[in-house]
Amino acid sequence: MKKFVAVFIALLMFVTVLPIGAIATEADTAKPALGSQTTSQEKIVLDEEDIFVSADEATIIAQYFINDIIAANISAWDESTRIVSVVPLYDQTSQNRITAYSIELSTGYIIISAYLGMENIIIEWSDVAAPTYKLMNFSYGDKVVYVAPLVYYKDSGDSTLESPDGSIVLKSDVENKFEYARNINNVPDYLFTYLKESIQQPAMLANATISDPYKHANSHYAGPFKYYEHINRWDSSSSPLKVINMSAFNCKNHCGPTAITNMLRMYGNRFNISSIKGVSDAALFNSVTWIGNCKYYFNANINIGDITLGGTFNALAGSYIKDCFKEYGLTANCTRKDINYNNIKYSLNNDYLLYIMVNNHSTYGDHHMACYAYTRLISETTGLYKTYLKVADGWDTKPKYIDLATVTSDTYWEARISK
Amino acid sequence: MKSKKRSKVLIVLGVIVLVYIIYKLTLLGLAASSMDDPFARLDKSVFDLDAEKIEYISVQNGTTGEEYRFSGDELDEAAAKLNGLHWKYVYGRLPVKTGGWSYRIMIEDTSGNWSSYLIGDNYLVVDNVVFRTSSGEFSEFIDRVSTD
Repeated sequence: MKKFVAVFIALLMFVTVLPIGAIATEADTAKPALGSQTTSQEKIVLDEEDIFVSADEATIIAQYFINDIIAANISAWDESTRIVSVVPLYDQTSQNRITAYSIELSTGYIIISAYLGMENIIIEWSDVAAPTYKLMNFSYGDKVVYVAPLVYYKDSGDSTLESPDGSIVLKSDVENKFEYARNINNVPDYLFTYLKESIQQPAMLANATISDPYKHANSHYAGPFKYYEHINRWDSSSSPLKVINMSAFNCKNHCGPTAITNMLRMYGNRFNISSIKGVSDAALFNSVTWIGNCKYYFNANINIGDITLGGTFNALAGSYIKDCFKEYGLTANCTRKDINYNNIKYSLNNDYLLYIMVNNHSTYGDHHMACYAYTRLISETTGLYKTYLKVADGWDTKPKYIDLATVTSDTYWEARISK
Repeated sequence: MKSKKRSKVLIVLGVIVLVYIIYKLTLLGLAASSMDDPFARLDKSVFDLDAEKIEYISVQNGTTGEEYRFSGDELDEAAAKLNGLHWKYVYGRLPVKTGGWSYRIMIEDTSGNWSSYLIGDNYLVVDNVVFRTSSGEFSEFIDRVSTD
């Protein structure tokens, strides 16, 4: 019997280390240039797109402006003043051309030009009053037209515009005064130097991560592209979003746990969850990996024969998210959905957090990340819509964007989180 | 009686071993039959790249996203290194989708064909086929982007 057991163990060991392929042998378009600025060495031409300010950039400018005004102590703004929403303001045409952004605050507002060529890109501001367009009643689909300081109209989609006093004017009779106010010489020297360097940078790698959806869309598709719409309830507030990257942790193949850690941190900060806010990023991550290891959702080292792979299972990620939020006293109901514009818009409109799973992606390979916003652009020349998902990609400490068109064969977990 | 019992146990164990081997071979067969790659193949040498027709070969770190692109003489050397790749064993893996990887190689040719392959110290993955290589086979690639 001993001999038999020995033979069996030997056979078992042989089979266990047997390479799976036992049979395998031991083988060996651009718009006309807005203007130019000459340096001693060369002449640089800036296109309109180069000096266009995105909604995200306008939000950052507004926050800096608020901070400066608070420091100067010349207004009613204080530390509790926060950005409530960002409203794009359009010209009088029906071509979705943005002239400025209205940054609506808890008290007051700021109007920021959508182009750097203005003498002062802060066109209007008030620490107590609401913008004049608030006097009008807007329906879904109506746009705010803004063609000169304090000159607002309501655009309901026909050939006329309505002013705050109720009078109606033809679009063809309205003039956009900002077009004449833009001058390339108004771009500060330091900013011009930055723009020059950015223009002269070599063409971006086809699979590089995306920091600026406008630049990406204009360099990859027939543009120029303009803002169309966005949903972002997470990092347009007064406190910028904290994004955690994988390099912060000593682990392997851990994009899944990092994405969940980001989701926990984002939710905890926004909704002031003390059980999350009270722990460090490392402690959060450790609890997430511990849950992942215990329940086999995640494994840094999965041994196949004598090689080691690893990662988070796509199919189990929903349960993984649920268990991690439960650890901190929260309920997360997760539904797996295909990535497409309608699904993403629905999820973000309902204030859910998304856990994106891409496979064989040209930029990210097989990768998981947290998504919390999107920006949709439209081409002025072709009418093509381009949607970019805003993500904590786990590689950078700043949010990145993903071109929706590159992930439409992938899926995501929609996390509906509640206390 | 004792001998009869021992025979029964041996038969059961034999069946288990046989099922295991069939499972592994089936897995490899399925993985190999579904392997569809513009550059790699299940052959003695996995790659047969013509460096002149290669747009780029790069290696990327899955933790940081850092990518290194080989160019000039380095591109020729990288192509030669891949062409000289010989595997020891080949494995099949279950087609289960996961997220998370350590390193990968990317290849694009002048015709626009593109593909990527997970790599480690001793393996290369093409679709669901895992090629087990000698240890250190890919160290020249990995060292370019490794943070260790």
